Amino acid sequence: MNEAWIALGIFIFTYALIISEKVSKTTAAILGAVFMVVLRILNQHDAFGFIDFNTIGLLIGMMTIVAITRRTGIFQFMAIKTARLAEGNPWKILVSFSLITAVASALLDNVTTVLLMVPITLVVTDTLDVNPKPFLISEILMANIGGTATLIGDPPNIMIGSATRLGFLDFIVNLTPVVIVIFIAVLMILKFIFGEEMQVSTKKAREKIKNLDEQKILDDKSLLVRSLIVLGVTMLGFLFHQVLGMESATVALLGAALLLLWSGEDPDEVMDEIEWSTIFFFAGLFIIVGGLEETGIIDLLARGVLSVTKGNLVLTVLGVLWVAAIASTIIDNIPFVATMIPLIHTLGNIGGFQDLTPIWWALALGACLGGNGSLVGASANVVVAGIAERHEYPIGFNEYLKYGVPIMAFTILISMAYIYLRYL
Amino acid sequence: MLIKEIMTTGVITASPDTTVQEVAGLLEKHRINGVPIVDDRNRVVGIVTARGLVSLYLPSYLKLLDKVFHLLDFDRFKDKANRFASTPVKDVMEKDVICVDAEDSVVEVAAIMVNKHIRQVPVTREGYLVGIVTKSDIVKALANHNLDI
Repeated sequence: MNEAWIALGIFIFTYALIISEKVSKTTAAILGAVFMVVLRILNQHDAFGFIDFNTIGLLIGMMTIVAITRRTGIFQFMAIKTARLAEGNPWKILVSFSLITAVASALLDNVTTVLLMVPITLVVTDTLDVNPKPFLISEILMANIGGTATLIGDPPNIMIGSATRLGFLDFIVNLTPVVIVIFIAVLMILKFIFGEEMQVSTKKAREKIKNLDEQKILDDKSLLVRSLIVLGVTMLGFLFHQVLGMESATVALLGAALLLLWSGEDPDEVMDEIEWSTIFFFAGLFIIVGGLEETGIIDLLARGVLSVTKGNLVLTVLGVLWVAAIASTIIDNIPFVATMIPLIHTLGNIGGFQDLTPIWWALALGACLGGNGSLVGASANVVVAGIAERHEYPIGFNEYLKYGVPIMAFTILISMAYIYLRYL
Repeated sequence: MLIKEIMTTGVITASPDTTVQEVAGLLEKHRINGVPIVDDRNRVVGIVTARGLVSLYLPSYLKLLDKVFHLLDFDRFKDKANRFASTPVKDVMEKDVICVDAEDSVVEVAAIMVNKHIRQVPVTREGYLVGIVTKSDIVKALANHNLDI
């Protein structure tokens, strides 16, 4: 029992460090993980065994593909192309940028997506001479919403897919439909909030937008073709990974290897763009949660949950959905999901649930969409707020909450109705 | 060889309350690339470089852009720079100025310039400005002294 207290202590300490933002979350996770070994909760061999290398491999593979593909400028090209097609109408541009952000987030990671979209958005809003805030806020929301749609879209989904038998296609079939509904619903809310100020753009500004030249962005056509082919093949690989009996990390790393080979890009430069701190954050969390599992804390928590829900599936599913949403508003959703996964597995073992699938979808929807609640809810939010702050358009924490919380709650209500009608 | 042997003395400086426009005038008139900003006791508190002035015309998110420079809207930034013209330089100067000591060796300063991508370095003695050294001064030293630095 003594060990269990130590493990719990390390876990709470790590969470507190992450929430305090006094040190980087990666430092906190590595520190917690190392303490699990130093204080003999886990031996080193077991500790490394808890790291889910499918999640790690998938992240590294996709980050490699994205690091090369982004060099082609394809995302900026699409943004400028659609801005021109929208003829400089700010609302239409907001809609098209929202769509690009959502689709790109579904296929790539959210942080990369916003890092590509935000600068080009500022170029366009400067040209139009309109306030960029509605655009930036909608891009935060849409990055998290789009990321919810697929297995590879958002870290919670990557972890859930890795920990269960649910594959890429399962995520598409079960999550994409509700994400499309949520996307449209949130656009309607944004229209209601920002619609009026989005109508003004001067004739001169519209002319300028019309004259933007997006062709010049695509200066390396051969890299573009190669990147798109490999990205396409990788997506096909994801669609059929279960049929082929391949783990998703294998598909991503295959794509990464092919693109490194075919593009001839310098691996040192490409690897520099991989977010190693995120990778180590994941690894550390897996070990910390492993310590909780090993010492029986997860088991205890699961029994606690069962005593509240009395093994009622509907109550459990809706509970997971809302708790995940609220927790992900307050803290990063990655540590939360890392903790919830073994908890839900244990619930399945001791609670006698025949089918855990609805609980997994509730966790995915809650954790991904919950990230929209506040500026610290997801990494993409933090990144956009950081850029906005440094570039003359700061989005305040409380200012964002006014949009984030109601919109997040609304999307969770839609998810709740969806899960209830489809699975319960 | 020491910096004091090749530095330029009689440095063109400005006070923190000089306007951006006036400092730009100094750069243009004396055909120099940077003006150290000094306080009333001749201590360096900042520097305004040609590069820094040009960047006032450019968007603050420039660093995040790659290969879309041709899309930038000139009017927008022209307005911004016009607003800056009457701003005191203390609001736009670079405050983390790298200074060297008059007794430092030329090779050390050359290394600093290349490593930090800067073209000129104010030279101080006990914290007070006594000169300035530019890349051209070093090139001149190279040419005249046959690499004897």
